[in-house]
Amino acid sequence: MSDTPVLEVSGLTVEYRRGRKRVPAVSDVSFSIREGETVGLVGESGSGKTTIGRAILGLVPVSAGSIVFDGHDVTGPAHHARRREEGQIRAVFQDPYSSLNPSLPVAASLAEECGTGGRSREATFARMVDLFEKVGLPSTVVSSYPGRLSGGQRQRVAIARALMSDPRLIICDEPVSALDVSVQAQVLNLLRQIQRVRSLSYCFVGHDLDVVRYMSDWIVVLYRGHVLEDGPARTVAQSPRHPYTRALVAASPHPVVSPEDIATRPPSSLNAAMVTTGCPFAPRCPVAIDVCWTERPPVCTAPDGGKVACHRYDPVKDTTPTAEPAAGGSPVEVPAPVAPRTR
Amino acid sequence: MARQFLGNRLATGALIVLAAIVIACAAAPVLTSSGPTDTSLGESLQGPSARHLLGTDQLGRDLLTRVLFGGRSTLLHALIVSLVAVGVAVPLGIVAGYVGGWADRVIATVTDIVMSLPAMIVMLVVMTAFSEHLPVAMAALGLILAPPIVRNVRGAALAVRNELFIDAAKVAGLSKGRIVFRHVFPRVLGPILVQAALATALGLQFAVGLSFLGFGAQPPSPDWGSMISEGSQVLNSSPWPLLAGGIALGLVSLTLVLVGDGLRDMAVESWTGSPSRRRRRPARPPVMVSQAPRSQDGPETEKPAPDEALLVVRGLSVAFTTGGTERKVVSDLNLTIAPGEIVGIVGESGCGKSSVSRAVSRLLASGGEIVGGSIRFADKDVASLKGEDLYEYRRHSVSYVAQDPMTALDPSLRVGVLLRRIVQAGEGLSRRAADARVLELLAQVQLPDPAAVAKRYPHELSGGMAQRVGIARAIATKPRLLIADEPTTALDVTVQAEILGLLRSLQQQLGMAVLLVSHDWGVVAQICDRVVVMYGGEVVERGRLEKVAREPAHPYTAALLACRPSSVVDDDLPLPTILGSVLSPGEWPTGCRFAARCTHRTESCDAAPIPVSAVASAHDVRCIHPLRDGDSTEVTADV
Ligand SMILES: Nc1ncnc2c1ncn2[C@@H]1O[C@H](COP(=O)(O)OP(=O)(O)OP(=O)(O)O)[C@@H](O)[C@H]1O
Ligand code: SF4
Ligand code: SF4
Ligand SMILES: [Mg+2]
Repeated sequence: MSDTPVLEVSGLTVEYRRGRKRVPAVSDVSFSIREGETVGLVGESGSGKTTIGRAILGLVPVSAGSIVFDGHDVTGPAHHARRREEGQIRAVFQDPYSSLNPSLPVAASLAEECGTGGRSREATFARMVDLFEKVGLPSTVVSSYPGRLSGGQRQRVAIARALMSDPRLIICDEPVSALDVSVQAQVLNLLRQIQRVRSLSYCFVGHDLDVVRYMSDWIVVLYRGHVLEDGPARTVAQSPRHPYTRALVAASPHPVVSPEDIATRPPSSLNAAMVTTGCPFAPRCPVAIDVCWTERPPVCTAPDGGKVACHRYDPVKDTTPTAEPAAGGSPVEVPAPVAPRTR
Repeated sequence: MARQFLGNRLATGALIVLAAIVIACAAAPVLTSSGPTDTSLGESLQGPSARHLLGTDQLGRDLLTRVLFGGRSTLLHALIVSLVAVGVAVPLGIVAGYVGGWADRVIATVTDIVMSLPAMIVMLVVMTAFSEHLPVAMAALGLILAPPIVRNVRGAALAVRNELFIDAAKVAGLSKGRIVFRHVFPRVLGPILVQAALATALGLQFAVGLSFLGFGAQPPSPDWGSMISEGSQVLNSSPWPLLAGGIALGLVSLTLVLVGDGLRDMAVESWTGSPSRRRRRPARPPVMVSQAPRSQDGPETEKPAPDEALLVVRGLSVAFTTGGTERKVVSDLNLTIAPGEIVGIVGESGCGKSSVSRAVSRLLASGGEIVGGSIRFADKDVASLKGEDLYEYRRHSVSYVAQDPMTALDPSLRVGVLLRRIVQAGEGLSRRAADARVLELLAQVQLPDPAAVAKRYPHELSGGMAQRVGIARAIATKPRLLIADEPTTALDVTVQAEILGLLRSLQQQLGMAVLLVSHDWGVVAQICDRVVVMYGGEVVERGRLEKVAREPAHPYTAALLACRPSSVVDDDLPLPTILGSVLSPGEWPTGCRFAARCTHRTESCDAAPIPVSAVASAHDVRCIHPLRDGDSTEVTADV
């Protein structure tokens, strides 16, 4: 793993037009991905994680900020001409049922990725068969139509397609959310194994913190387009500093829970009014204080390089306070099923 | 696509007839012995005979010959109309739909203007101006007919624009032109063909109509319009001149419409809607009945004793019949639910969980049938309920909460109205009392500001709110059993936790029992008292939640629990996976149905159906080598 960032996102802001109004979907988001590393973006629906991925891919216009890939600014359309070259950015999308054109055989979809290397037809086909073997598909799949394949098979095809042009970075937007747990495990293993062999970088988008933790080195936690916390994957998932991340951890469905866990969950997502000043999470935050409603929380840097945007973060204790226990319940104890990670 | 079309016999027949007519007209000079203008006054206005198959007209000209020659000009004109209309409309429609933005606005304005012109009057003006150049006039007509086609194609292109494969092509660096040509055009081809058929039919009617009015082929050369017009003048003497032109026109119009319908059905079939946001559980392909002899789902050792249970299912088998073959999807299943108990069914896609829950609520999709066993609900024999009794059962005994909250709510009704109807139907309350009850229900599902929610339409609700309304609707009839099938699959983890918490607290308040179906162990583990694990249409393990989750005895249960990233101890190791994939119902072997994927398989596993046995009190498993404490499945990384 080298220290040169493959991708640097700084101050990224994306706005969607809704009628006359411009609604921010992503506000001032920054992070960088080094070679061979995975950065996970996690958050609820509407937190802007998909939008960030699409901005990096050049599929939505960027309102402010910059995205630098491999030393080149890829923020504007000027970069699009380079997409056909090898070693660029590719994507694996969430929905394997819509990411392959149902009216084209699989081989035709993959052949679009032949790059500008001027590879011959035979060479392209040979590469396809080679990649299919790597992603665990029989080579007969090359000539079949997507309609005949299962969800797991399609996602493998999508991964093979993403690998055709030897990209340096792959944006994985919830690549396993539509799959059964057992298939999910197969696809996650495959992604990790490919990464190790090729020192690929991933930007891994997900709503399930366990999956994102398993895949990532660094996690960025998003809420309504704002970064609330980031840091090493293990820290964020096991000893979260921000009240929102703590809520995500508490909501994570673990197979072994006691009913008391549920009693101590943070307040309802239904109180989530839009906040224009102050902390975006304030309406749902169990430990909010007055200043949270009026002032945007400062971004503090934790000892391990992670960042927290919370008024109640205490840099000395390196944590934020937890909610007072509800009557009869015990305070949220985050289960720690994961052993320390060495990499 | 082509195969689907050929499957439609009527459309195929129509296409053949149409092709025959077109070819006959095109080959008219070869097929006929006389010319269309050869007169023979001695044979004026004869009926059909061997010499003149359709008879003759006033001047003794052979009508069949004139129909064939006339078709050349009439059909050519119709074709010009259609080609111009489609040729202009398709590029415009694709640009408007796919490129969008200002191009879309300009095209929309132009099409609106053209559509507001009175077509017949414009046509008469054009015909007067170009009476010497009929093809030009027909091309003008094509332009007038283009706007509705533009709109149609635009709609189709707009839908394709949001497909992920378009994004993938953009990311691959394909140029706009190539994306349109390779990805957009093939997807809008269906609608285009339909529109082309309809435009041809319209063009035909205009060509005939205008020629009937005198704007057509100049005598003596024939076309269908002038033949009909001449025929109508001699109708008193002979019907044949009129019939000849009329039948030709009618036949071609009819076949065009039939072909258009066939194309539309085909286009609709290949446009199955886009999948739900997060998970989509495809229907299993049809397969044959399993030949395996019935294995006995052992006597339930679990509490409660059947006589105090709310729901007792014994030996339940469910089968679906498609195309004459029956295939079993659930076989010989036992399930008991006590009053006020929460029971979960877990298993992968296609293992029959939903079929069980739907059989119990008597909501099996068409073709689905309970083919064996019994379902007893508080002394009612559910499987044989009919008519009013079945209605009564569904109204007061069970309620069903579906995966997608939005589709379960009528989009045209405000939430308050929707709930009021259910409350009124169930309890015969006055409107006032019903409204009060609705607010109480909305408060019960912990929606803040129930009065405001009651005034909203379903599409104005977030996913979590919609699912709460779905639950309010389910508990409105005070059911004794609530069946929730993947109620949180489409929701965020935080919202999911809230909905599950809500189900638990409602169950405690109302004392109803809950049957929760999910593919996700994590979900079931949040609230269930007992779980049933299903694989291949049968129960493979059941017992109290803590027991099964902490000490799974069946290799499948253990593997399902192990492959979640939350269960791994070391993030650097690959996740444990289950080899291969779920078997479809017809592939069930005689022996253990999990054998092909099992790491503990021995020869005796394949020999005979595996019986259910008890590993502990109230903990049953269908495996002859159940895992003991401390055992675990081997880590198999099959990548
Ligand atoms: N094409 C669009 N037009 C207008 N608004 C959009 C569009 N796409 C997304 N948004 C809005 O932008 C915000 C962020 O959306 P985004 O899809 O990035 O969230 P997400 O975190 O990926 O959510 P999910 O888990 O549902 O995929 C939301 O408020 C959403 O409604
Ligand atoms: S800033 Fe305030 S409201 Fe926001 S997370 Fe921190 S404590 Fe909660
Ligand atoms: S019966 Fe045999 S094959 Fe089936 S689950 Fe048990 S050990 Fe595996
Ligand atoms: Mg998303």
